[in-house]
Amino acid sequence: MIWKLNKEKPICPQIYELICVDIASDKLKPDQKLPSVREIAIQAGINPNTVQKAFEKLEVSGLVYSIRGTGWFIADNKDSANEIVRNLIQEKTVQYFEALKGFGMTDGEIKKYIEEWQ
Amino acid sequence: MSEILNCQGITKKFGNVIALCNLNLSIESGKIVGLLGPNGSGKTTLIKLINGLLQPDMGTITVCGFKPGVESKALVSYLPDNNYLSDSMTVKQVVELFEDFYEDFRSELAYSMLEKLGIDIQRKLKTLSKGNKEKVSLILVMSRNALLYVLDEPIAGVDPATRDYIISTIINNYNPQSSVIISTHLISDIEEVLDDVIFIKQGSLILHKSAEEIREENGMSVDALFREAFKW
Amino acid sequence: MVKKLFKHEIAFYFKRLLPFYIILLSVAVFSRFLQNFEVDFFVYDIIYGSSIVTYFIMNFAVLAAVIVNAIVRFYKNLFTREGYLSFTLPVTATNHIFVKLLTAMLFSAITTVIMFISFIFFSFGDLFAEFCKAFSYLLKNAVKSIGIDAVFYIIEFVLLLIVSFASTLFVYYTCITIGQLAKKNRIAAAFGVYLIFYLIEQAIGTILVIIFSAVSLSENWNNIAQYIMDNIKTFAHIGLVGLIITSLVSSFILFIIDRHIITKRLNLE
Repeated sequence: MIWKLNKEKPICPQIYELICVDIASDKLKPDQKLPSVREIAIQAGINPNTVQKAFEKLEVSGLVYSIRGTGWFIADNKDSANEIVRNLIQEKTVQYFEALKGFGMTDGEIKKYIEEWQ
Repeated sequence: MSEILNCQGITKKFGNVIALCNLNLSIESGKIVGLLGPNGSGKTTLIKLINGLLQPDMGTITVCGFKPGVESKALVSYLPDNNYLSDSMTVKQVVELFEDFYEDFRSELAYSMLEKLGIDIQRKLKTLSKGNKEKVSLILVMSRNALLYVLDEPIAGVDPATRDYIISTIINNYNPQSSVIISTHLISDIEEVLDDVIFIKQGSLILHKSAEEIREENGMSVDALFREAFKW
Repeated sequence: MVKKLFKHEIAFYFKRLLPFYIILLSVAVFSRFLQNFEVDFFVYDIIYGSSIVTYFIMNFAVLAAVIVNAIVRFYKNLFTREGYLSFTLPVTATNHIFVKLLTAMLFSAITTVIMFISFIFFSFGDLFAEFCKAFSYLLKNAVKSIGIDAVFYIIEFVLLLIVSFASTLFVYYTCITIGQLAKKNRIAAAFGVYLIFYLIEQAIGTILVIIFSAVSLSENWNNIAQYIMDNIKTFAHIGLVGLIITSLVSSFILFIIDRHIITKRLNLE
């Protein structure tokens, strides 16, 4: 797993989201064991407490479960993951359009630009 | 959760220069804390005070419940920012020295880390490259099972690959019973590893927050906030 | 923990002094070996002469080596970058000071023994036999004239040797620690302190001479001198023990100064 993280924003939510995206896109399958907190912390070069908090948040959202002494596992809850990812896509899209508008494009120009790009 | 470090009203002067002024600080266990500030801000003075290499003019320091002394030194693992090991010793001899004096020293861990890096333990320290010397120093410090690790500029002056290795080692060594204080001015490289962040300016503590809070509340990285706070 | 400190300190001296010991003993043996030949060849004379001279020089060299190493070790291990390691080890300042002092004294004793052994090698045979004869003759005469007391004198004398050696080391140590109080040029400051110690010693010596002169010129001098001569043994013991106590007291004072500076005023660069 490659971790592309933005230091300007809180990292914990970013870890949370990245795992959600992987669940939603089937990169992480139900009952699959997640790398340990320590392993992810080392891979991503971040604080283990941050990873731990992200895992706990995922557990609250019902996306992962933990077995004491063994580790963290993906829950069979793709629907929740999908919803979270949908919200993320929504956010990103809004950001994208705001950015384009910030460059001075009109709604019509934006629509044309997307069609051309595809 | 216990208190690893407590500073109350710490003041230290050198002649007429006030290095630290009425500093109050508390660090719990399980935290990786960044001690951030420009050169001459008082970071090194604070670190020396914690390690019993200096005595405060006013105030008290408590390290793992002890005043800096023989008991605290057995619980604190210190990596100074200079080359403090005797150059004429071999790597093996230095490992054995740490084994002798520190009950919490894990020699198998040290030897395995050295082996993984391909460092020949029979070589004298003066024959090692700067990067390798830094790695050896770090391995020695991290191989101790201490309650407080104090790292003074652990990643300054080394190449990026060595930096990554050092940061990975720090993360890998993390445990909830102990804490790590990293003093540095290379914030950008290290901020993702930090739980909490302390800004020291001209002998005073001007900020003590969690890194995530800073990103949340200020919408910027710790590095960016630092640049703002310490603008000339 | 103190045992470990000793272990490392002893290892240091051993590593530094062993070459000197080997060379000293080798030159002694070599000189002795050359004695066996009665060769009338000038090159041989040069070599033989050189080996004898070298032997005597090596004796001085090995003594100098112990003292120089003792001083440099104290400075380097505690007050250069190595101090960052030494003073974060879980040992006290007292531990550091005494381990260094005692190890320096131990190796001074060892060096003396090795010098003696090398002399045995050097003079093995007739010369050494003569030496032993002369020594036992002196000893017998000493015991005859002084009596059983000779044993006490010897003990006191040896103690005095040991204690004054320790106090000499303490003087060097204290020069270094007081020098550390300077902000810059701490080594130069240490030499400066040594100069002050030297001047103080000279001053005390001069004052004692003045007092003695005044006493010897006084009216009561004849009575005093007679009294001392009658009780010469007691006064000799008092003198020796007095010197021992003086050395101990000055060593203790210097130790307290060293410990205070290290624990309260240390500021490594």
